[in-house]
Amino acid sequence: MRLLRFSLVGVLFGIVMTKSEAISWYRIQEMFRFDSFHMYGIIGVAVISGVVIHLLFKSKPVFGADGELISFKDKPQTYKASILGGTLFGLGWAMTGACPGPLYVLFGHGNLVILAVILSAMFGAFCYGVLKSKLPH
Amino acid sequence: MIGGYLAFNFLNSGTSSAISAETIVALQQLSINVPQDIGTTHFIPQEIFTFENLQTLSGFVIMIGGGFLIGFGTRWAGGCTSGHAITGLSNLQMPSLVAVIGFFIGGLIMTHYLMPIILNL
Repeated sequence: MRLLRFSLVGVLFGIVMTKSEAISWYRIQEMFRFDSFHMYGIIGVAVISGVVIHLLFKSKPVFGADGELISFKDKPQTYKASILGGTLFGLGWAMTGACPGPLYVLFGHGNLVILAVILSAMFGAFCYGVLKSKLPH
Repeated sequence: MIGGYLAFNFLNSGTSSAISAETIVALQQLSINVPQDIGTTHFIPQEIFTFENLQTLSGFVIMIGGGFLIGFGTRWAGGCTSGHAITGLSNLQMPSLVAVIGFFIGGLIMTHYLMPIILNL
């Protein structure tokens, strides 16, 4: 039952990312060239919806699939990691035109070569784990 | 993956709003043609994302190097576009705002300065 619920949210994510074209390499190029409102509109609407949903969740208790209270943890105050990791992420985002979620959506479209990007991203995450103690946070 | 499959194969109207003319011209200068209607394509340029191009230097840097940076950067920054830009910002998290500024520093440097070099490798 739990898996089914999670899967349905994932399926919805894939459909929304496709229909909004947020997974398009061309749309990411357009965004970083400030040539269109398209991506800013998507992200802006998502942030506004997010603010409303966060407030709703905080206004009265909401329980998850296992009956646990849903609460929000603050992000750790690791600003060096945010700016340095964020910049590396941005370099990769502008090259591949996709962030982690959309990679799976693109693979689902039948772009088999995207599997190489996914595996490389997993290797990148693994390398972070190895180097974690040596990096500034 | 399932959502992507369903959306692409069964929910595809074959129409989309056009990519801006400025971006089309800029990409043409990099020898990348923007399809008339990106809704009917696979959303990624076939000039770059093919198995053959994995064996070229520029294709390898973009697909393997880009993938590596996404994975490494996401873990280091503690989140990606959905984790920081959408969920983090909407929960008013300061580290998320800093991460989003980082996303754009990296993205702008790559788009405007590095991509033209990498595509000509």
